[in-house]
Amino acid sequence: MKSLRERLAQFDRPPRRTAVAGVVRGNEPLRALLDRGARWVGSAPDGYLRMEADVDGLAPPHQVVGARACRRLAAVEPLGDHWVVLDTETTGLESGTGTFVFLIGLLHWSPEGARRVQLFLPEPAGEESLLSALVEELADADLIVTYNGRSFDVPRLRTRLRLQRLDADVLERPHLDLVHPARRILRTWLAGVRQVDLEYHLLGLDRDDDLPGSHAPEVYRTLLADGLDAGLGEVVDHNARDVDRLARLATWFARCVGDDPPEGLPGSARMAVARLLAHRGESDEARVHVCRLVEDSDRAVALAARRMLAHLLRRQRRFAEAAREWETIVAAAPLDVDAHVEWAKLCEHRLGDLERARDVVQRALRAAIDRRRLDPSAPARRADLLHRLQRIERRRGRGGGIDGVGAH
Amino acid sequence: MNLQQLISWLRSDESFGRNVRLWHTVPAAAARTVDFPEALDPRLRSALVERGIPSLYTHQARAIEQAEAGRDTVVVTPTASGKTLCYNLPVLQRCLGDPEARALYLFPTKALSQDQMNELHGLIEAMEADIKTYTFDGDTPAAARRTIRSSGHVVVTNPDMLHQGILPHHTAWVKLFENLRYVVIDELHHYRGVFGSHVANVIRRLQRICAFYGSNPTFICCSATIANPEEHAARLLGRPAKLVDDNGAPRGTRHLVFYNPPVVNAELGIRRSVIKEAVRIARPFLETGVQVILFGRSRVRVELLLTYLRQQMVKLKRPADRVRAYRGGYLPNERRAIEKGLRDGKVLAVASTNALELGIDIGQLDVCIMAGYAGTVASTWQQAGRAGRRRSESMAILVASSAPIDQYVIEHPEFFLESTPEQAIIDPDNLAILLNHLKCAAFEIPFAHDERFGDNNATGEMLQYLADNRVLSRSGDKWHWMADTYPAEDVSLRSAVVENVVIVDTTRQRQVIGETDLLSAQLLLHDDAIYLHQGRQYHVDQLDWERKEAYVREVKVEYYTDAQSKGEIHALDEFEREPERLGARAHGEIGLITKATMFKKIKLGTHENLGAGRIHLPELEHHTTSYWWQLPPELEDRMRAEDLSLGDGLKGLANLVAQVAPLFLMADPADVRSVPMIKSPMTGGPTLFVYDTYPGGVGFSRKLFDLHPIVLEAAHERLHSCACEHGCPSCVGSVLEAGDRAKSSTARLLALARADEDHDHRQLMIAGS
Repeated sequence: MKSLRERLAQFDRPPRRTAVAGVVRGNEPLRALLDRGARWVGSAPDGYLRMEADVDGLAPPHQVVGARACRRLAAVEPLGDHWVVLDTETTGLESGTGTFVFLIGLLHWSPEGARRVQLFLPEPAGEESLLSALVEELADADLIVTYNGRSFDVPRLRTRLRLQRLDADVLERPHLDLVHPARRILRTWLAGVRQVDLEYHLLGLDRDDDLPGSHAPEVYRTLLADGLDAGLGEVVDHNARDVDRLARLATWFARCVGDDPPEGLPGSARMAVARLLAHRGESDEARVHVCRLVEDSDRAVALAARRMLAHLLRRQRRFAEAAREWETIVAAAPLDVDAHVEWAKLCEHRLGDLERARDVVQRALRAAIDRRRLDPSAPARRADLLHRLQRIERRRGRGGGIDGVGAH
Repeated sequence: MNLQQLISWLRSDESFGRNVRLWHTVPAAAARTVDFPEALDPRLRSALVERGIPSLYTHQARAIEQAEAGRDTVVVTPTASGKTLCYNLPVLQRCLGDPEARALYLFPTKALSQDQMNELHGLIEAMEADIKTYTFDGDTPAAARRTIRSSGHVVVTNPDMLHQGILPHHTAWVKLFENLRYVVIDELHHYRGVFGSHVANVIRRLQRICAFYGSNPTFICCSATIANPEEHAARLLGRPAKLVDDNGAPRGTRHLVFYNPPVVNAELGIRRSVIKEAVRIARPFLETGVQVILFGRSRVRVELLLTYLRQQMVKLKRPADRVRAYRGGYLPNERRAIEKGLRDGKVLAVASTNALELGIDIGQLDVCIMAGYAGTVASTWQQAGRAGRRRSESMAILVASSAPIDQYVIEHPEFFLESTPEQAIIDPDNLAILLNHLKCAAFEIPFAHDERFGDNNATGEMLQYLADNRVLSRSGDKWHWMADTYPAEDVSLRSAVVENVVIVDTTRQRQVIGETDLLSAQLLLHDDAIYLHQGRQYHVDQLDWERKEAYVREVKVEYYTDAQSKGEIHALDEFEREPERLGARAHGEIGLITKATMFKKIKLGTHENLGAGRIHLPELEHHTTSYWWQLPPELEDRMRAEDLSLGDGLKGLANLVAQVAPLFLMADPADVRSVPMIKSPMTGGPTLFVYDTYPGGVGFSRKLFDLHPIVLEAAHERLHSCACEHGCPSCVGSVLEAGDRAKSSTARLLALARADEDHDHRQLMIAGS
């Protein structure tokens, strides 16, 4: 008769263990953290560890980022000057109630300076006091700043708070999640937009000797299951760098949408910034950015910029200027049927210049035909162009007989 | 001719009548009603009256009374008895009185949920009440999910979604769990066997989470007729439920007919094919234009029914596509279209497997023809129940196949009419199933050190085992989830095996036309099989076992294929042992290996054998529970001395047990298998194994172990009431199968086991006839 254990082992597959980088140290597993200044709040098993440090070299957020940048980057309005940068380490990537947060990194960023607080959970029984501490830390936050926090960190924390029956309202603060503007602006430039990639490409900062974030869960499991330190110090250091550098990244992104954009940004990224500003309804600002690009050495970028400029001008009801831009575009790109059409629309509906409108549509028809010769898969456009032409002719008072266009 | 006239005509028709073994008429019944309860919300009252419901049937009133008193209830009434009102009414009453109240509805499949919700939606609309009902399942778009979580009053889902999509994320469903007042579980009898054992555990987890949020909902369950509804409900819910079964709904006259196709070869005892006979019987009904449903026992049979039915339609000069087939393996939108066609009358006849046995709303039909016995009394009544409208006449015809159990039932209709339906069996504490759900539960809420999960004392030990595997971590006085996996993902509620084989049609463009489980795939989708799907034939060009994909191509051929498999047993563990008069019986765990071996090509129409082929696929292995009867080794010599064969006796016994087992259990014949071994490596002697085909076992063999003496008694009864001389498929198996001394040897075995003094007397009787 097999024991229960033997019977369980027959059909159960234990989970695979991922390899752990780093040295496994003995006896006092929390030594590395204590050496970094951690102190107990409460005691084992239901207490937690707290580390605090000042961070130098960071000017206050309202100076280097500001509410205007928050609006532009993420349509978010901070409630004041006390911002909190937030990053967590969890036992896994899954959502759901079984994943929990064992390390919370916070950077209090305000006119008083920058102060980092890290809360570490030596074992699950301490979760309630850890989360209560988090609630206190966030109590005065006017803005939460994260990287992918909307999809990841905040929902996980919300779940943990609910499981401990604590009020999760403190998480419902204005939230600047930089992953979204990062993707919008940098998508065509950088292959990956993980935070470490941005640190490297944008800030020129590397992460030497850093423990990859993906190893953190296994390090923590080793602590709980075996009582050993497989890199706890490194996990805490990694988390500290995450929050510190995120503040610097916020500064960088703020410059992108501000008056003094960072150098070295390729045209496509700068175009993306302009689009973002236009999307946020900041047409003047967008126009400023775009005007800088219309003479770019990269022809594709220059043309894209000029097209956008034309749209912006029209949006601002500066129709004659917009029409001139389209004219320039058409001269540079004679096969661009859309550009012709935009120009013709302005002439017809806004500038009352029907003669010009007709000429432009006729040129558009020829452009469409030429285009198809080069690229048979391009859309024909004949029908809608002819329709436009007919309408213009009607308005000019001539019926029937379309002039200048034979059967092609 | 209308249906009533046709039924009268059939009654008097000699060529039909001579094959009829039973014509059982259930007279029409008038409604038995009760006034609405005093406290019923006036809006609900007028909405019901508006919809043609001026009062309640007796069973509805009783069920509602129980539910509102907070007692878990199980309602057992047939289809078309208005059972949905038994739960919709208490739920609506509560929601009208309390805008925060919530209810959870569980249906076995998505299809069912869509249909059963019609009544609820209709009432809500009629009342113009602000009660929101939402279906939450795999197809619910992400944008809708947040709304459903916060503001859905009634959330409709299925056990799989509850298991994977809701319970592990319960913190996103706080409003639901804090305010949950009712949990409705429809088609309770469907939760049996493996699936039922899983669902019982999902319900345990649900109850645990409700307790965490401080709610204690009342469960309202609906079940088809089974022998043990109260026991079954109690096992599923983990606590007792009150039974309501006094059906007060009206019904028209119903005719139940047992029909045995005539013998066409007296020497070999071969009868006309059940499939073709069923279609022949269907023909006059088709001509009349009444809606007919035909049930076939397997997917292959259903496709054959469809083929022959369409031929009939062509002869009747009617559109062949008014006849459809319906089974699992079809894609969901195909099934929806057929269901709708049945409801609105465009589909005249449908051939189905038991997939349509469930309460899917296809309206009521006029005639049901069962091509072959469904395997259980309960299933038969369920299938027959598909025919029968409230106020008009209807007919259900059981056409027997040549299978032994069919022949037994058809020739002994009193057995059928007098027998109680079978029991629904589950084993929620099946170790493999329990462990998986324990993991899921620990993921959901940490376990307190003295908490019990399930009806056993093993929880603490299992938690420790999981901690040793670094899945859980003990901290303070609780066990916390520690792994980085998501346990619900790895647990399929329907089997121990998660994988399916996907069927890809390569005729024009590559297109997935369905999927099927691994064992069926080996039998239906092996290389060179002819796979039937919606009446179309496909040749299986290749079954890529590695990738679990089958590539098929549409063809038109004159044959179909039928595959066979064999199994091997090796023993793993023994849980219990009881000495018997002859040998001993035991119950424990075995390892089972099945292998698909070969297939036959069979010509359509004549059913002659055109050829065969081998199947080259890997073995499938799993562990399961089994009961076995171990006989003393000296028995072999003893029987040889009497000019009998132990080997034949064992084979005969195995066949008999396989036939009688379904008499006691609500198992499909495929759920239990019996295998004789003249010399088992495990016991060292002659042994009969009877095992659960589901991995891990779900209680069937365990039950048979308990019922052993009764099983032997039933086998004895079957053997001696059979008129054959040396053995036939209806008892011990044909002479070719079991040996030419099977009948007498088996009889002797049973006599020895039962210490039967009358045995020798009967032997003389048999010898003399």
